[in-house]
Parts: sequence; structure tokens; C-alpha cells
Amino acid sequence: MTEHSFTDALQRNGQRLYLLALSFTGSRQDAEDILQNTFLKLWQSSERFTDTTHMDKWLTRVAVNESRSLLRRHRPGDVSFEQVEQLLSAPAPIAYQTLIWAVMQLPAAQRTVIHLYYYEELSIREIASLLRLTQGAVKTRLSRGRQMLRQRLKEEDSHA
Amino acid sequence: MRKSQYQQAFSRLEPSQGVLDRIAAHTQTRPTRPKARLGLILAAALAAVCLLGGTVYAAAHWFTLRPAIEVTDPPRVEKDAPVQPETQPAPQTVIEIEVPQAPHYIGFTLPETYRERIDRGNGQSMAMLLADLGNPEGTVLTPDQLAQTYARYYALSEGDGTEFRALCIQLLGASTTYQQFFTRYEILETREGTLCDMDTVWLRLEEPEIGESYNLFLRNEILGCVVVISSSESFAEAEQAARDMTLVDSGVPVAEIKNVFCGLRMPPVPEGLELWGTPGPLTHRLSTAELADPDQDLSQLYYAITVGNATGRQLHVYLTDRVSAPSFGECEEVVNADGSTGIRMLEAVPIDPVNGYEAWRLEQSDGGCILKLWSREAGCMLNVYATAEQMRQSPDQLLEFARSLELVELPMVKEPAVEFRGLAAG
Repeated sequence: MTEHSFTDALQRNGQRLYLLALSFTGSRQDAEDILQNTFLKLWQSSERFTDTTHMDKWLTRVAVNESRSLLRRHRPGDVSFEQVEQLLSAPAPIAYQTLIWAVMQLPAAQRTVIHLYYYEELSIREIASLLRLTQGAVKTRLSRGRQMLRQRLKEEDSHA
Repeated sequence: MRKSQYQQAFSRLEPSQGVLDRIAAHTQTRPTRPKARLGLILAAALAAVCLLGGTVYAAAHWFTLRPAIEVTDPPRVEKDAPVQPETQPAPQTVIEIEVPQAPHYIGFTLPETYRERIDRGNGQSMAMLLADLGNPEGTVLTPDQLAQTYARYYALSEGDGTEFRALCIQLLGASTTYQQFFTRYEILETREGTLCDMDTVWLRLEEPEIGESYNLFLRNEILGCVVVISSSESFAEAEQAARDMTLVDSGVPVAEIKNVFCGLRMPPVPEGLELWGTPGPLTHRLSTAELADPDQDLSQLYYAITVGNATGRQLHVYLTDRVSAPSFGECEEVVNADGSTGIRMLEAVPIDPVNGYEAWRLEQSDGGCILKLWSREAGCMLNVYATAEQMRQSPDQLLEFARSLELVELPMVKEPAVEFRGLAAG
């Protein structure tokens, strides 16, 4: 692993893996720790990557494992609307903030599947493989997550 | 919600510059040498071998000493007779669900293309299936029937753009009908026939928010098993998958494959309650090596016993096996004012330790209650559930019952560490 390829990998995957970890943990601090551990493992790895796709997939797997490992140790609490504002790197429209807040309110199981489906644009089969779930379980989580999200956004809309 | 909308919103979230700087600083450190890691791996492998050897020895020893199923003092009840409450409390009802001395594992032979795609799943859908199986006729299973009922499954999933799932459920002493596997779904079409020398039933189902699925059930009376092949695409795909498989007796004696898992030692069941529901492990047993694998998601493994009476479920006990921390993912379905349904997370309130377990109480909105008992030493979670009716009738019974539960380690037959000998044969 050269410094150049490591830096490339960080630029290519840094934000993506941070968001993936955030979808698991709901905590900025935890997500950053996971991101750091993931790239530490990359630097220490003796894995021979055939191409960047291989490396990116490897990083995703490590980030998922790191996230699960962290969740076994502790479960972060709920995310408030104020915390969502703090997560933002730049001001964002209120509709985006509401969407992020609603997603972060979901239970981790649903939130992760929703994120992989909508952000990473993975298929049901790919999500099932990554999370080691059955495709049926992924569909159920996705369906339930959407339902909860719809409900939350509807409630928020009526309050507004 | 559109993907672009989601992506635009979340692209506003970025890691801090501080953490990016720290990551970049990794390149200033020397990577761990492979040789050093090799030593660690060898040491870990040696430890795993020793542990596995000890487990196998202990389990083998156990098998030579114990009958397959031991239910002490079970009242004998005719299969379809109404269940009578116990009038005399049993001295100590020990229920150790075990694989009966069934001769061999039953499995499939599979074409080479499937072998790389075995996905054992996490047990969720299997748990649902077996929950249906446990009460196939809508009747209450007596302890005697419970002891006679054992279900084992093998699950595969394969995907080349379509969902394909096959599972083999081996039933010993239990009767079931195909349709009851999917009682919660709308059955659109049913056809009966034969395939691969087995009686078959085709079911086209409508699953809520998922859509249609095509399910082929093959039942082999002689082997006492049901094979279910499910496709999201067509009957033809499921049928082709069925033709590609052959049901075989793997020739692997069950007693040769063992593992240790945690079970429950039950007290005398409270008067008026009977055992019913789903016995035995609902999911596959993991090998010792797999248990040591941090990548394994073990949160879905559990072992269930339901305690109920003839009028319905009263107490529900299940054991989440081998988890490293309490999980409070409990939720309940609620009906909103507009008639729609939703999910509400239950709040876990810590209470005083129960019988040595760390404990939390989760109140349901209808008055039902869940006690979560966490055994740090065994790495297991016990859940004890009482309905609202039960809480009204006898508010202390839940806690009393929870206090009487004792965690025990049982040598347990598991799915083969040799990666499904039945599947790989031929």
C-alpha cells in the first residue's frame, strides 16, 4: 500500500464510509472512529487489491464489521434535530434537515438498509450479502423503514 | 422518496477535517508485518482447535450419557385432546430440547453453481416459519408433543438478479400442512402435483409491500421433510431449482456433530399454563470457530419456548444466544388515530437484578410487559413476555416466573461444520 493509493482511497471513500458508519451508529463521534479504524486497517493490511473496485468493496466490508463491533459494545441514543444541524458541514435547506432527522430517528436496522439502498444504490441482493441477511429480511426492513419514514415526514409536515 | 433527494440531503454530511487529518497521518506509521500477524493467527488457530476439541469431547461424552430428549415427568396427552391443566405440580420439570436419535442429517445435493452461494441467513424468516410449524393445527402442543417435535432446516439463497430461496425442514413427529407456512400472506393460487418423486404444492403468494412470490413445496413422507423453494420471479424458476437438487441422506450421524449452546432449565410450569409453541433451536448453530468470528452477526440466534394455555399465549420466553451486549430493539405495532399502523419503540427501564441477571422492563402500550434479562457471563439474553391480560390477572407472575428461570449449557447438535455435508455430497 503506497501513500498515494491510500490517499486516493481516502478521497474516494472517506465521505461514503463515514455516512455508512453514521447509518449504523447515528453518532458522529462513533462514525468518525469507525472511519479512522477502517482506514487504519487498510494501511496495515497485506491484502492485494486487484483494482479500486476491489479495494472499495473491501473497505465497505471492514466499515460494516467495525460498525457492528461498536454496536455490540454500546448503542448510541436517539438523534435530536439540533444534533442533525451539528452534523451538517454547511447550511442545508430545512427539507434536507428534516429528511436527515427522520432517517436518523429510524432504528439502526432499518436505517442502515435504507441508507445502503438510497445512498449507495445497492440492490436488495447486494445489501443482503453485505449485511449477511436474507433478501427477505432486507425487504422487510426496507419496507418497514420506508413506512416509518413516511409516517415521520407526514407528522413533521403537519406540524409545520 | 427519490434516491437523488436522499443523496443530496446526505451529501451535506461530511466527516470533520480533524479525523481526515488523523487518518492521513496513518501513512507516517509502519504497517504491521505479516509475519507478526501470522504468529497471532497460528496462536488463535491453535486455541480454536483446542477449544473445538474440548467441545467435541464434552459433547461426545454427553451423548453417551444422555438420551436424546429428556422431559421428566411429562403428562401424556392424546394428540388432539384438549389440554388439561396440571393438577399436581411436577417436582422439577427439566426440558432439554435435543435432537432425537434421528439417524442422519437430510440434505440436498446441489449443482456446482449453487455451492458458492450458500447463505445461511439470519434465521428471521425461518423463525417465522417454525413459529407457524409449532402450532400447525391451531392446537396446543403438550410437553409430550413438544418433545416429539423437532424441526431442522437448511436454507440456501442464491441471486442472479432474482431471489431464490430453498429450505429443507426436517420434521420428526410433527404434522403440518403447506399452506400454514404462509398464513400471514394472501394465497393467490394453489396447485398440487408431483416433482422429483415428491408430492408438491405450488403456492403463489402476495406478500405485503413486497409483491408476489412463487413457492414450491415438496414433501417427502419417507424422509419426513419438506423442501420449500421460493422465487420472486416465476414457478418455472423454482421448478428448475427443484430439478437441480436431489434429496439425499447425508450419512452423517447427528451425534457426530455437536456444539454447546445455552438453554433454559424450566421450573414447574405455573398452574393453568402449558408448554406449547416452538421447541428447539430456530436457527443454525454456529461452530466454535464461527462463534469466535467477530464478523458474525449473532444477534438473531435464539431459542424459544412459549408457555401458554389453551386459550392463548400467556408467557413467552426466548433466549438470544451468544450476543455480547443487550439489544433493545423491541418494538410494537400500534394503530394510529387514522387507522394506519405504525411501529413504536419500547423504552427499556433498568430494574433490580433478577435471579442474578441484569434486568430491564419494557411496558407495552396495551399493558403487556417484557422483561429482558441479560446474563453477562453466558452472553445470553432472556426475554420473558406477558400479555396485558396476564398482567391484569396476575401482575406478579411474570417476575416470579422470570426469577425461576435458570440458564444451563446444553451439548447441542448443530449444523455440520463441514459445510452441509448433505448439500455438498454427490
